[in-house]
Amino acid sequence: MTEKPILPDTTESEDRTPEESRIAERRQLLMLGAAGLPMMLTLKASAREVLVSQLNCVVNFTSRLRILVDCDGKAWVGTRNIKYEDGKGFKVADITKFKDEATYSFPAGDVPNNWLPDTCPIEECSNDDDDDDDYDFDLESASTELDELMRTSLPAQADGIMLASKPKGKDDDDEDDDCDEDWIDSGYAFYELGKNTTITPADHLSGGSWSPQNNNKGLFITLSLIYESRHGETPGWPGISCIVSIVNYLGTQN
Amino acid sequence: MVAAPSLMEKTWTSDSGQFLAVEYDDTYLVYFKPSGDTHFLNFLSFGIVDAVSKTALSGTELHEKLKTDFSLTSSELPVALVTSTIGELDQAGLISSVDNSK
Repeated sequence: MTEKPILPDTTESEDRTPEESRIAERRQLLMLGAAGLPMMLTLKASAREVLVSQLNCVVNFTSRLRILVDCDGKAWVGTRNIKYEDGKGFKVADITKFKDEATYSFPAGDVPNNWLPDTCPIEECSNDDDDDDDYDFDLESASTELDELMRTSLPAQADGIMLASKPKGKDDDDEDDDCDEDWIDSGYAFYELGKNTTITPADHLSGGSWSPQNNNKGLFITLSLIYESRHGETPGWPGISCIVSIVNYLGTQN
Repeated sequence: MVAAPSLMEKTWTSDSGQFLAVEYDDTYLVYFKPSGDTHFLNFLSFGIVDAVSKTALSGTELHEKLKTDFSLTSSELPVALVTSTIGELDQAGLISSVDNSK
């Protein structure tokens, strides 16, 4: 028993012109239509939903990501750890290694104030102990206070005046760790995004524009946007395709 | 009591400004702005939309035009198929009956 073909025989199609073939195909299609095949199909996911789905992408970290930020707003992104101890701060050697081995770095001014270090050194550490500027003695003030001392006979008052006018030379500041060559307790902020951390970039949108949250994830989003603005969808930055898709989506809304 | 006109008796129209269409090998991808839906139309269904977007036509007129435009006979393009396709397009909003607006 042979099965009856549903469609007309098309074995002679090689002899047809393209237009004849098209008409033949249309006739076949109409036969299927007469048999119940819909002449139109509607996508289950509407175009609007497709667009919005761009907002649903997530960035998942398969390994730790660490970000070092300095007071100039520079940032280094890598995976190394930087040792930190209370009372000492960050281990300088680790900071140096982190910078040297960073996967990405961002120039000064890239990191917004939200993520800058809490404390920044006013001046760089110097080993020049002979510098006269290091000895901060207010001669005029001391002279006035000395006059005051001469007019009083109470030791307590004298002590107070002497303490107030005590010059602040580095030689006298035994508690100052700023110049510790091994550790630094200011000038850097260090952020970590742990392995398997998931970031939904759309969580950092507000009213159709970017509004990174003031946390580690927000810093990552901020740097991602900077990366995207400079490199587009160039692979390398974690989750860049997700960021780009949202940037493109936002572009269609404006 | 007057019977409501059938789909073939109604006059159909379409606003081409409400959709975007791209052809891929005799198939048309149509994005309908008001609904935000995207539809795949074959030559027949798109032929209907295209025809009534230029001139309002009744179902019967449409049937004749389609046969002429696509070099088809009545047996190759049955009225029932045109009727059902008009119904699908109407449901999707891609075409609408002029009679409904009266």
